[in-house]
Amino acid sequence: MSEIVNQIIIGIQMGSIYALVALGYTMVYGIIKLINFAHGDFIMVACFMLYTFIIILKLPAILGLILAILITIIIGVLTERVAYRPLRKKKSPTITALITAIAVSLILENLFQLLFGSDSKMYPDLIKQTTINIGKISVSNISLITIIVSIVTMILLTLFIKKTKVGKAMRAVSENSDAAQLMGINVDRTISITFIIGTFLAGIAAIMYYMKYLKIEPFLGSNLGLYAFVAAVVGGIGSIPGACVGGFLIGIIKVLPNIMSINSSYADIFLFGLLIIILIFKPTGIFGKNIGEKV
Amino acid sequence: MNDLNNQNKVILDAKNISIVFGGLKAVTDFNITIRENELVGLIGPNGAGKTTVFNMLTGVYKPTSGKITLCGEDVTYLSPHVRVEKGISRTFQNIRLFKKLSVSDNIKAAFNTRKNYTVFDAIFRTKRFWKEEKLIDEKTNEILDILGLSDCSEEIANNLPYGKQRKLEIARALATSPKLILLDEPAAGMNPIETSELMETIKTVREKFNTTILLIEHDMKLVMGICEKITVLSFGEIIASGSPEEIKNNPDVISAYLGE
Amino acid sequence: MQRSNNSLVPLYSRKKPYLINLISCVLLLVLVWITLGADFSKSIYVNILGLNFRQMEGLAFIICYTIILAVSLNLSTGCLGELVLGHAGFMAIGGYAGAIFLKAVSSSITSEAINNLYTVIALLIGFVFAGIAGFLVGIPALRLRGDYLAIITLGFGQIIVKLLELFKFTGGASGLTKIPKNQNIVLYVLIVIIVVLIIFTLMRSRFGRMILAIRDDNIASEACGIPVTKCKIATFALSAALAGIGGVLFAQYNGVLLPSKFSFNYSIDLLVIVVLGGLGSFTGSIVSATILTIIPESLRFFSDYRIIVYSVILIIIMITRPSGLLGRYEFSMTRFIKMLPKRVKNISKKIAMFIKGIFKRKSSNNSKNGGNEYE
Repeated sequence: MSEIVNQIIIGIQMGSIYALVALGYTMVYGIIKLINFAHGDFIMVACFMLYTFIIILKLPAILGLILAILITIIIGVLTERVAYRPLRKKKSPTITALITAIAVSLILENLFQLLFGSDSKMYPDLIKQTTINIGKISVSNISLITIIVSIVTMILLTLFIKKTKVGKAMRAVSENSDAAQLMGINVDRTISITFIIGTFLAGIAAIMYYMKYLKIEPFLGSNLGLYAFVAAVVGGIGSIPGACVGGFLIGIIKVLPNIMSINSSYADIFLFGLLIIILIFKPTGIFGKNIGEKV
Repeated sequence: MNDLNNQNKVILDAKNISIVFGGLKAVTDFNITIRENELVGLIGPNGAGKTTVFNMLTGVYKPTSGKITLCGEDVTYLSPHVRVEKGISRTFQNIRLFKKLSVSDNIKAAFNTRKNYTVFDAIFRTKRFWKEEKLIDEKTNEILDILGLSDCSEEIANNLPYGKQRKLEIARALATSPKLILLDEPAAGMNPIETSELMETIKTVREKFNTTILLIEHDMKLVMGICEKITVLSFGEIIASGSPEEIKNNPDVISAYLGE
Repeated sequence: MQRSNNSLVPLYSRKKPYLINLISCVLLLVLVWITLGADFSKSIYVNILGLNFRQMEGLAFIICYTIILAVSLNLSTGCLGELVLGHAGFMAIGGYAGAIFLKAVSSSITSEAINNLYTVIALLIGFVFAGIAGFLVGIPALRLRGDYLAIITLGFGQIIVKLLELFKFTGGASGLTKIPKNQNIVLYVLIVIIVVLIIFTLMRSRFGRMILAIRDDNIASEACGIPVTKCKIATFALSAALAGIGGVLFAQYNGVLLPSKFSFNYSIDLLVIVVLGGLGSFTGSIVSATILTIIPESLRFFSDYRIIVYSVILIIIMITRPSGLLGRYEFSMTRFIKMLPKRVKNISKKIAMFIKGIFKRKSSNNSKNGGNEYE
């Protein structure tokens, strides 16, 4: 029994990472209706930046964290400027934008493979890992930090979108960007801000990922991104609470094979099975709104 | 003329059709009877539910209650493409052409209702394939000729000027050999000259293809000029129907348009 | 005003172009037999692009199955307009189904003829199994809006790889080995020609018009009497089934099937081929499948940068020329033949001019001779 609880805690820990990444997907999709395939790779970029600053250059941890997040944000905004904005201006069809997003993702992955090599990098703990025992249940301090930071971030993000002026602008652009522009909202800037927030969340997720796995490789983004993306879709793409719920759900599904003691490959099968079932019965996801095309 | 028409066969008969969108009654108890070869207008202020009526008649929406019959056959719950085969064809308020296809291919795509050769015929290019394709080519040219689009038959649809795009929509609707054509604001965005040209086109279409037409329009000159019967819709309900003269003088219609 | 340059414009009812295409297919087959298939040609040592005969022959096989995969992906992504990110999954299903059959009958392969017969049966099995998979995936996926199909096919591709690794009868992660090989290049080319012909003839019939209409506007298609959902599922299933054929050829060429081959990355490779060639242009798919197979082989040093270069090219193409390099252009034998005399005339004129330049004094005589020689 305690083993199951332990596994579930690990699941929630992973889930909170997925949730943070899923938020990035959801926000970008909400605002420009694009599945940003490169989002997972932003996390990979952030991880390698952490590695460069803290392990190779031996900068103080806090400075390293700030620099890594900053560089990730710059790459995210650049991606939007160089690759996505020209397409948006031309009102290209979805398929064109999707292919571009995939291409950006491939560029990042392979560029970092060239720069850092394809082998995975191990490194020492950022924070000394300790285990807190409550009865038979043991929780690592890292799990606790991850879960708490994620939840706090999600609450702050929700408040930001609901209460601030920029948040309102974001909601307006996602509703109807042409109308928003006529109301005096700077659409391009709002979209850039969305990318900044998205990549900032990716940066935080990267720190959590870094602390949990202590191992990075150039292709970590594609799998992580894929799971997070499934989380976003299951929760209802475009919905912030949806991304959080989806993330935790996916985290728990990932540890299911461990609880049931079967081959861990089944996790993926469960995951994509769930995705397909959700898409068949409620294509808009758990929290999604249905927007039909007007005739 | 009117009396003669009334003895014609009933093409479309909608009885008490209503639709509710999440508590909002969009259209309530809509009735219409259209006889063969009639030209009927459906008018009403913006948001009266005209396009919703079209969507129910063509099967995009399923009515919450009521019954639609086409030539005596119940079509209330058939899906759009089946209704097209049965003989209801339409155009769209905001033009929906196959933008990247050529003008002639736009029309040929609509000949699909003929369903006269199989995948097997297509792959092995059987005699039937050649015969059918030749027939489709001829019919396409005929339609293009009548609507005056022959000179731009190889143009990409998206590059056509606005007025011709409207015409192409009508041409495409004709290709399904419909018994009834629904035209959704065919004159929207047209200048007076184009509109009067369109009136001629609609008249020609009715004569040459021997079809029945129901149209939604805001341009009163067009509606009063060519329709024999007019139904007026306001807030989802019919407030009047009759000949153009009757509608013009109907106090309810005047108040619906001008407000009280 | 831009004229439509798509090939569907010529009247479908003309028989002549079709017959010319058929004849040129037969000629192509003969050409392949002479250059690669017949025994006598193997003795001739060729060295083009730094490749010897063996390597060239190997490339020819790879090009064959890549063309089939690219062309079938183009059917669903280019013509139907649905982004498919799990094409390799369908290829895997076809390949494994065919390979399992071939392994079962491997002991009874006694002659080349029997081997070829079994290949044909395996191709049919691969076609059917992959087609059924496409049908099953298509039913839920195609009812949804555009980008969801991309996700479902992506998920499907991932599940397939995982399942292949789990199951015993597929050999697990170490894959299926000792699949009877069939390396008869003429057969391969024949199959490519058949697949391409099937797609071509379909696309230039009422079915092709349906597919293109749905891509442009599915609501209007429905209003024109086109059964949109049915048609989408059928096209998608056909595309998957043809990918299955590609999978069987792949299995028969390699003799080994590994689940890892069919990963997301391979699906993306195929997508790159299709997009570069032009969404909707089968000529483009064939050309780019050929070029993108040869380039990495002949430029080994390039392989590290291959994907980065591809991706940068992809983005540039998407921004500047989203319909791909060839757009929807199709090569037409009839047009080629019609243009031929003109081209020859032009070239001969240029040569004549060139000669004129050299022998200014004898200009008049030479230009006449030059012109006549080439006409």
